[in-house]
Amino acid sequence: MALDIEQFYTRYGPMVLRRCERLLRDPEKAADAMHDVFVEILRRKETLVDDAPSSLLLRTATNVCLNRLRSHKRQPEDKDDELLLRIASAEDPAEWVGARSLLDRIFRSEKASTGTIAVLHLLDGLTLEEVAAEVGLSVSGVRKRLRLLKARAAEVGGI
Amino acid sequence: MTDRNLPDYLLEKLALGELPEKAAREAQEQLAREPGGAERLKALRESNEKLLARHPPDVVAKEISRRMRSVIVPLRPQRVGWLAAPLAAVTALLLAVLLRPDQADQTRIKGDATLLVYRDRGGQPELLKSGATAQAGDTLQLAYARARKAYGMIVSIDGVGKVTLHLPERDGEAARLVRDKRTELPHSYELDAAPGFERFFLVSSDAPFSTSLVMEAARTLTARGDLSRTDSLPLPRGLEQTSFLVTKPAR
Repeated sequence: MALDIEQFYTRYGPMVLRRCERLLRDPEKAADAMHDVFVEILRRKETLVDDAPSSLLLRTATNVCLNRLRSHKRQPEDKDDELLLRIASAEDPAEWVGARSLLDRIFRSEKASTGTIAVLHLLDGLTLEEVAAEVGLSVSGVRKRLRLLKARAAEVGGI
Repeated sequence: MTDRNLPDYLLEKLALGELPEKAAREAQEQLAREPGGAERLKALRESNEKLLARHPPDVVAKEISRRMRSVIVPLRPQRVGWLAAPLAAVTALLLAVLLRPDQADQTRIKGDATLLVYRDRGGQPELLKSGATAQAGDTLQLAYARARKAYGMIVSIDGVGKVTLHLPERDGEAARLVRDKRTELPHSYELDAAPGFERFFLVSSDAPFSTSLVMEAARTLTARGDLSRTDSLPLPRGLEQTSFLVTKPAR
């Protein structure tokens, strides 16, 4: 699929930037992350068959930001931020260590990280049904992921 | 029906016209019920204009293209066997005869960057020290930290002379390094059954360089037998290297 980067960015860039600014709380870091989100999407453009890719972009932006929050610890600015940082810390260590190969073994899915699912539900306020529709899992699948994350979070400090 | 405000996440999709019909209808109804709901879509459109002015499409597109050229994300680890390239093997042998450590233009063994190797222990990462022992089948995660050079690559050699490229995925140009922070490679790496050891090298430079240069140097080093555990890669001036040794138990 031929993709005009400028056009693609014009349509979706502001949305991605707002997402990154919300999660990273730093306009410069958000802009940097935004670029990487598009790089990641465009690298997989052969699989970009969806003509409504906003979900993929938002999920990827969430994942990119969670990865950065995990690498660069900072003090939370408010309760939402504190929750976000705990989600980032509590994400499956196997995801942190082994990226896709280990994650696939555990969850057999590349659709969304557990941390992303937690952000959608706990921070963004989407219902379990809305999260399930967004990430392509069943509601029970979403619940299971959230339970796993909460169990891991209990080991590091609780969500 | 719900009393909550429409989440920003769904508002973004509504503004783009990318919510399914039923969800879009419900979202519109929610916005109509909210105090200030109608203004939210307007505010989003104004924000779009401001952000595109701050980050113009042509500038961003250029930067995105540059980043795409710099780093290629691997889909799976690529193993390059030096025996698979006869010409390269002959060249490597010739170089091994012609070059000696005191003749080769040596680079510093200790570069400014740190190579980190983690082993997966049932989902928990274990940071290894150079010289640690690992088994065939162990999953390793490579990372680097404190990189001050702009470009780099990671290769490994093993006890049977195989050379594996870890970063970037494909031969070509060295990857653009993320400076001054720990950066994991996108994929983990499973140790195979080759005996003896696996030695990882991080090679970095301020200027772009070709991966084939380092791959050749790695093949040259493997031809030195046991010395490949300790000798540095024979690299030209301007390239720095640091290495990490993982030993494998004797069978």
